Amino acid sequence: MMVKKNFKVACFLMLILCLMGCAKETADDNSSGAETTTADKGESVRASMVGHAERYMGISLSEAGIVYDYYDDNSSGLVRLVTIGEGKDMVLCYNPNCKHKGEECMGYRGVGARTMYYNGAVYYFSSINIFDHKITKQDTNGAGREFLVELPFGYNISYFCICHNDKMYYDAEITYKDEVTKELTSVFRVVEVDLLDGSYRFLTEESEDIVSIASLKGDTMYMRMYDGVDGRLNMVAMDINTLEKKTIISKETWKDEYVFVNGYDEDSYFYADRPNREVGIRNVDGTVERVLFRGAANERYSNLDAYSTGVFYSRMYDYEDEPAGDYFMDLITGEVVNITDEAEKYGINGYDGNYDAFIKRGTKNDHGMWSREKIISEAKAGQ
Amino acid sequence: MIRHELYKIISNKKAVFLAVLVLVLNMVLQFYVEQNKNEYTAGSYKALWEELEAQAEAEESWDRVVLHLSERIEVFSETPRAERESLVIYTDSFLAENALFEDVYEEISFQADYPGYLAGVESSADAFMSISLFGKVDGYSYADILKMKNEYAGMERKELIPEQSAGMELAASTGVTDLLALVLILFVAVMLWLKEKEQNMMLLIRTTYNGRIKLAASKLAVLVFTCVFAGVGLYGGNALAGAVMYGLGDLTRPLATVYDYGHTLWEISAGGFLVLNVVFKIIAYIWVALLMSAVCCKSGGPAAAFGGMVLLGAVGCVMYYNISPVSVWKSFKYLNTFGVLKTEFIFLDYRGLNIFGNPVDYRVCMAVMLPAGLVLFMVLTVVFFIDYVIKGKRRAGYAVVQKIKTVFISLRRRTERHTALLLHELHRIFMCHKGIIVLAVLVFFIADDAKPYEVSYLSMEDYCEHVYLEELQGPVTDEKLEYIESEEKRVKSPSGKYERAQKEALVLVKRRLSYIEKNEGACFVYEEPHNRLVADYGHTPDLLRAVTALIPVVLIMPYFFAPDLQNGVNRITDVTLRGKRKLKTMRYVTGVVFALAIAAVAHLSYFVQIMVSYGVDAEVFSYPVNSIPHLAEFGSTINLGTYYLITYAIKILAAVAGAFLVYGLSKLLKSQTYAMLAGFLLLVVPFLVAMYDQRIMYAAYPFSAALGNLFVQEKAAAVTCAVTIVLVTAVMWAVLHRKVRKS
Repeated sequence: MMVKKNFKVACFLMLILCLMGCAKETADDNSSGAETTTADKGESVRASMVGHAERYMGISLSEAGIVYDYYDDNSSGLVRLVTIGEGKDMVLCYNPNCKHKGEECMGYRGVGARTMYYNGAVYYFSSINIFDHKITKQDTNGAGREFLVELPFGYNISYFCICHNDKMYYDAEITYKDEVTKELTSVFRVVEVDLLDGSYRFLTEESEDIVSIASLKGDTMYMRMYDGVDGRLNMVAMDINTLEKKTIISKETWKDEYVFVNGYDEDSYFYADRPNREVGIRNVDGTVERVLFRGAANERYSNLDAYSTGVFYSRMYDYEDEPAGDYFMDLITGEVVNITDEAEKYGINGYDGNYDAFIKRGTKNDHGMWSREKIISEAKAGQ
Repeated sequence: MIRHELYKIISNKKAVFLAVLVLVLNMVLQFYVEQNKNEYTAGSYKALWEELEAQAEAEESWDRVVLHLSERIEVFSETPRAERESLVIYTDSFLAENALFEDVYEEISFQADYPGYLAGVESSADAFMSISLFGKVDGYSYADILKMKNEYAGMERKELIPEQSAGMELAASTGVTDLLALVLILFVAVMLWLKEKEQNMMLLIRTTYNGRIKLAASKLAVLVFTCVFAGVGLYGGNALAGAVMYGLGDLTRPLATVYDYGHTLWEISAGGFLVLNVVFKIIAYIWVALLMSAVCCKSGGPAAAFGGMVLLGAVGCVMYYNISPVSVWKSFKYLNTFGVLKTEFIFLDYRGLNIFGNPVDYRVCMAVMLPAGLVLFMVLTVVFFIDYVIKGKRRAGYAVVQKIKTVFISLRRRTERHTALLLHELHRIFMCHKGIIVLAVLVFFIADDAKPYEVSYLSMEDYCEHVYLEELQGPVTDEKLEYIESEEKRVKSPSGKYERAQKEALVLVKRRLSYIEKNEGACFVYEEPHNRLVADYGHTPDLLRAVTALIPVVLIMPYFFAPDLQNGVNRITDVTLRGKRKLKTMRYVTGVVFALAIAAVAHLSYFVQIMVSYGVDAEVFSYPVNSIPHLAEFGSTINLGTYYLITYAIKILAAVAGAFLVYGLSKLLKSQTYAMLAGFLLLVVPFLVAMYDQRIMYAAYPFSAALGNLFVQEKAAAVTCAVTIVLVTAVMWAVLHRKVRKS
């Protein structure tokens, strides 16, 4: 009898412990779609785009603003948020009693770690050593961080990382040690990590030359594949399901004629034709679908950020370093708005079509994000 | 009955001695730690506060004082380095002065703007709730922020009069206080529950009218009394230390005036807090004491009881120190057998824990966990106590056990049917007293921990430095210098990431070269594996291994002599031919071999693990010891191999000395339980204290030989250890000799 009693007590305790631990947040519906939040009202967030996110040089966009890796003198590393429109800059930690120092802080990133925001969660990439790294997930609406996956290679996400349909794509740098010569060699591959279960797969073969993701539209991934011999690169489109690759801009024509700007959709991409000083959309088969704008003989374009919703660009005169003007072209209506004053006022130097917002990618932790609606209406009012 | 049980404790000289020792030690450690906590002294802190209070009285405003303070801090930062020492008033250095002013400024500015802080909490909560990242109404974060906001909204936004906090903080500081309280509680719990069991008195007691529930209740009451005594005595001591060093200030002031507790949700006075803090501590102590009681009552013998308690404590510590405070699992960080002692969090601030997906205030969790644990462990203790297993009593599963036993019965008979004294002794210790289980657990942990691992490099430079130092290994030669030069030339304009790393690694190699040139005899060695073994990164690995080696010694050694002395069997064996000398010699020899083996396995497993993982070349052991920069002070008088030989010999001999100490204690105390307890207090607790707070590494000095590196590298530690060994030997010899003469 006593054994039975003890067993029952033990089972009961175990059950309580398991339930307590396992009672993490109910998994969010990670599919694309708007979340019921108090802040959504009035924000011009394209909810349908939330299922896709891109990370640029330490910053990633969210419906609330820019989530960025903050670097301080001690390199202790925090994750901060600059709210959209208002520009309120805060540590991603809601505890008012927190001193934002060390591991007790919700926004503590850790030395050398990098983050990516996607669909309500911040993903922390931290190096374990030169051969391994791990990803930890923090659901911002959830109860805390949880380990997602440990990957047997170093990470190389300083520039670009894309999340799409609950999968994350970034460049993996796999370092091998030669047991005889002790020399290290690095090869590059593109990796896909499933954010729901932590599984991963490689999308490309090992390459001694750098392979970096440029864009992902639907099932088509646009990649830059460098040629180690002459340092030039081929632009390649790859189907992420079949892994079939197709060179869309060869190294011979790259830079001399065409520059890849961004993917437009699964079958076409934005290009910049240098000799002709034009920007347009070209099919992966090489056919020009649409010329968006063409510059005068002494003009060129910089800060090009092109999405299916619109294109942000700065117009520059040859032999001058400063832009002559900043413009935004609505690709649906074809309307071009001069936003030079607004770009100067807010420091805008980019546009993100996923969130339909203008952004400032500052050099010293001074980033910003404003809705297109706000900037365009201000620009129109000024004109 | 309660009085009688209580009398047994109070009249026990050992218990009284331990209680006094714990109280005195706590006070001494509190004073010591507090004096060394900051760059400045308690006197400097008090003097500055006195000046500021006078200033505030003269100006009738604390806001101005805050302003003056901030101006002075600004002056500190703007003053040129050469002139900074002239600004020193309260301390003896500029750094200390600056730290003092910054700390006091932080205190006063918070206290002077308390309503602002509360308003800030509300506005911050509103701001975060309006952000979609945290604003999902059915999300955990939103609920947590809302709960926090509501809790703080109930706080009165009153103006606080700044007052120094250090005295109150010291009065409430836990430090090693809780650890010492646990030592005392452990002692009493073991005395209450194991002593009678060990003497087989339970067989008689449980048949008497009051020998079951009533006796259990009386013992529990005594345990509660002990917890009350520990809580009041130790925290009373802390309050006394705080009052003497800083003064406790106005005890009627709000708790929020105490800087560490500024974020508190308790609108009580500082004096009220002191009382409540002790009350909660006592409840936590009782919780732990009852858990210990349940383990003691359930376990078959003292080794199992000690082992069980150590295991439960270790699991709690691992959870508390390894779970991140921002993890989804953070509830387990606080709600475990170790975290339960941290009742100070109840008063600190709002702390939401994830319970079934909902944020629950830490205070509520504790309000449930403490009483639930108290009731559960109390019931379990009583049930286990009155259900004390009598050998031969039929229980559920008895038949199954018997069937299994019959399978092995013939084998057992064959092994047991012998007249070998050694086999009898080994069978008695390892089979009858279950020493084999202790050994199995130890072997499991060591085997699991000592597996070779893949060496981890944080950067390519680290790796390249390793490769270069391996390549250059040995004395400096012209060829090696040429090699360094040629490599420098090769990577002068690095072509890739790997060559860039090589270039940076060469800078480190050159730095090593200049070190070698300054230290005669030193050679090129990749020092990372050796740094781990010679305690360059602190003594924690040595402490852990010493505890691993000493716990089995403490748990098994008492079974060598104590049972015979306790039962009086020695009177019979002493008059037999083999029992007079051979048995004793055999026990000494077996014990020494056992201690040697345990210590060798515990310490050498780590050594082998590091050597295999890093692939250290045997030739390295012949290089002078100053090839490792951490051991520069030893010069080139001995080589690295000799250094390891000495330190490991000391560590292993220390375990043997520990075994002899437990032998001595067994003879002295004539009780397995007491010997085990005394061994635990003398050999294990000091290391636990040193591990708990590295500032009081002195606690490990008397037994520093068990750490090896500390003994060899710190003269004070070596002297203290040597003196301790001589003193303990002399005292033991004198006491035992006196006893022998008396008998």
